Amino acid sequence: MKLSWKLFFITTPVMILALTFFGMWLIHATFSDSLEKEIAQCSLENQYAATSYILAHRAYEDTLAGRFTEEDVVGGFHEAGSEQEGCLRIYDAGGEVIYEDNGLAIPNRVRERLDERHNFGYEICETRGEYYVAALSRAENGVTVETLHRVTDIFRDRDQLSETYRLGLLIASLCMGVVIWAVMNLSLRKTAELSRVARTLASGDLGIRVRAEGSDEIGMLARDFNSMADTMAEQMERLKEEAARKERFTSAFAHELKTPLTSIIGYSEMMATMDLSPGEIRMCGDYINRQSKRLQSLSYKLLGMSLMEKQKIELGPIRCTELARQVEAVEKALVRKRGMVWRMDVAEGWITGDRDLLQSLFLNLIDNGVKASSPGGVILFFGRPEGDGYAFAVADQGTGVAKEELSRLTEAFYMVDKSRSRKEGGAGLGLTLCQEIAKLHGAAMTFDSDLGKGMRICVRFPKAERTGRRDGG
Amino acid sequence: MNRILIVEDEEAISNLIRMNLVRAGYQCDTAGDGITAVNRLQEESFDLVLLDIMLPGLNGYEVLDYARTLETPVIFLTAMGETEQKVRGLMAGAEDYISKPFELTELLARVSTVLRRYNKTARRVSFLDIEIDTDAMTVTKRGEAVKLTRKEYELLLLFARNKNRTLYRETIYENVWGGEYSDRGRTVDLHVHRLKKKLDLEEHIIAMYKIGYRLEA
Repeated sequence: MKLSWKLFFITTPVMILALTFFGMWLIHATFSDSLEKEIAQCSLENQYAATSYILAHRAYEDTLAGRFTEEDVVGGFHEAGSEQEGCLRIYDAGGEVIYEDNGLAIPNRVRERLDERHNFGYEICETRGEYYVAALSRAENGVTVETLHRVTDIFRDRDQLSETYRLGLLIASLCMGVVIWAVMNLSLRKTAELSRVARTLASGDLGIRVRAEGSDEIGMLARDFNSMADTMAEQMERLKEEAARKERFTSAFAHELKTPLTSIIGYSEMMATMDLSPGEIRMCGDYINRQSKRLQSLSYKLLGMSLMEKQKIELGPIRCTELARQVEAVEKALVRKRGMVWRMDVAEGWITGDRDLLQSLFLNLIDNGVKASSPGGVILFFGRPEGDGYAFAVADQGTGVAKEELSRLTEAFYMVDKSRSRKEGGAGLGLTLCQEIAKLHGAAMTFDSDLGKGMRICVRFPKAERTGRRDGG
Repeated sequence: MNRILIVEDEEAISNLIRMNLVRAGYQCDTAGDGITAVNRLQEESFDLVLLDIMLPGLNGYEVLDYARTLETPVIFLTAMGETEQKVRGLMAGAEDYISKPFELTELLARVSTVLRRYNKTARRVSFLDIEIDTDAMTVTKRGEAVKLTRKEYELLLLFARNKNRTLYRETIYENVWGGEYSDRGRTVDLHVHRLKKKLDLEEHIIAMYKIGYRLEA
């Protein structure tokens, strides 16, 4: 059963019950109140009648002193006139009716309950669909005066009111039920949409989102749902990217491994199975030697990479100018030997890091710049405090790298120009190592370049810590 | 003489392939990148292209497309050993592929198979006084027909195509019988022995200690 129906079936009966009880109570209270007023009125009338009778009786006693009958008193009383037309009846002490102004006799048992101590009583009685309040007073001589007061209207009013209320209640309940059902349905339609979107998401379409509107719980749920979907999509994207990167690494690694292996296997097979001239043997030997060295350098670099991923390094405060001087000591001569111009401009500042690793980071970056440059080009090593941290930049005026390739530069084995990199003795791991070093320092490495426009690599370090220890990997 | 274009950016591998193909009697040309390869194909006609997939300039698939328009058969070299690359190359119309690292005999076998498929090899292979007709699958010695079993014939053809090259027992077994080599049966030795006797090649098929056999002619 849908939630809207559940709510409809729960709320409607509860409401009907509550309203019924309240209404009944209200009607009953009103009715009791009216009835009490009528009873008070009735008792007043009865008292009046009884008093009139007693006064008449006394008058007779005073003037006629025992030479009169009750009938006379009543006659006199009647003649004196009573407003209680049609409602008065007088009984003598024996219970015989001695006066009755018309035939209206409503049997009741009040008289039986009266005695010396209780000389007033009333009862509500019903006869032929009419309701009366019968009130009785007992005089000193045992004569009882009974008055009747019609209260049918109050009962009729009560019944009518109940009837109307029931009808009203029925209509109101139905209306309310419909309204509740509609409102619930409207708000819950969003949840239907949510579940539809969730199903679509589950089937793999990560782009779909819910329309999130309104500040109610459903709207909040929709927004939360959307942000969950965003996070999920992001994570999926990251995982996919990660998987793709791993695959590229594996295939690149296989390529890097199989290429020298092919030469080694091939040339050694030739040497073992063919009659070769001494010159050819030398050539084969040379190829085998060079390709083996290539494998060796590859294994060293891989080893270095995995070591760096595992080892814990000690980070300490480093003065930027000092680090720069150490880098310059190695690179300046090399750059000049290649016919390029060395420029260094490093401002005072402190960073937290491992001196050896950072030195090899910058040596690597500058070497890359040198490889890409031709004689006459400028190699710039630049450093400035930036915000809370410190930024180094290495810039060259060399061949540059196409914008599309920038994001893949730090990927293992990635070479922009395969044949040239090989001649320079690269395995496509240099920038990968740099990236690892930067990561260990919490530094961000960014590349800015385009074909023919040189390359500018920035390494931004976070604010220097007093002392620090960071875990590798 | 068949002309083969070797397209490979690794000089060591390119040279290795060239040396072996030349020794097997092919005429070879090399190209170090995709653009040079396309230029060479434009200028001259080749019977076969050996093509590396990962090339600077144009990549292997693009060169492959171009070679297909000239109806030149292509065998591509792949370092990945990746199914996806193999399938893509074969779908694009390559005749065969060779995964690096490869054995030289495998290279020669695949080259000659593709050339044969294109009717570009000599139908007759001959050495000394023996002539093999690869279409009729018949062997003659001094003009007289010699009856050989299927395996003996294939063994002879393998030797003839790899003159003056020592063949490992494993290589012989894998080429003639197919499947994994196990030394136990000495199948190879037995067949070589019978072949020597039938064709009077005792002096020319020489056993190389611990390696295999070589046909000297």
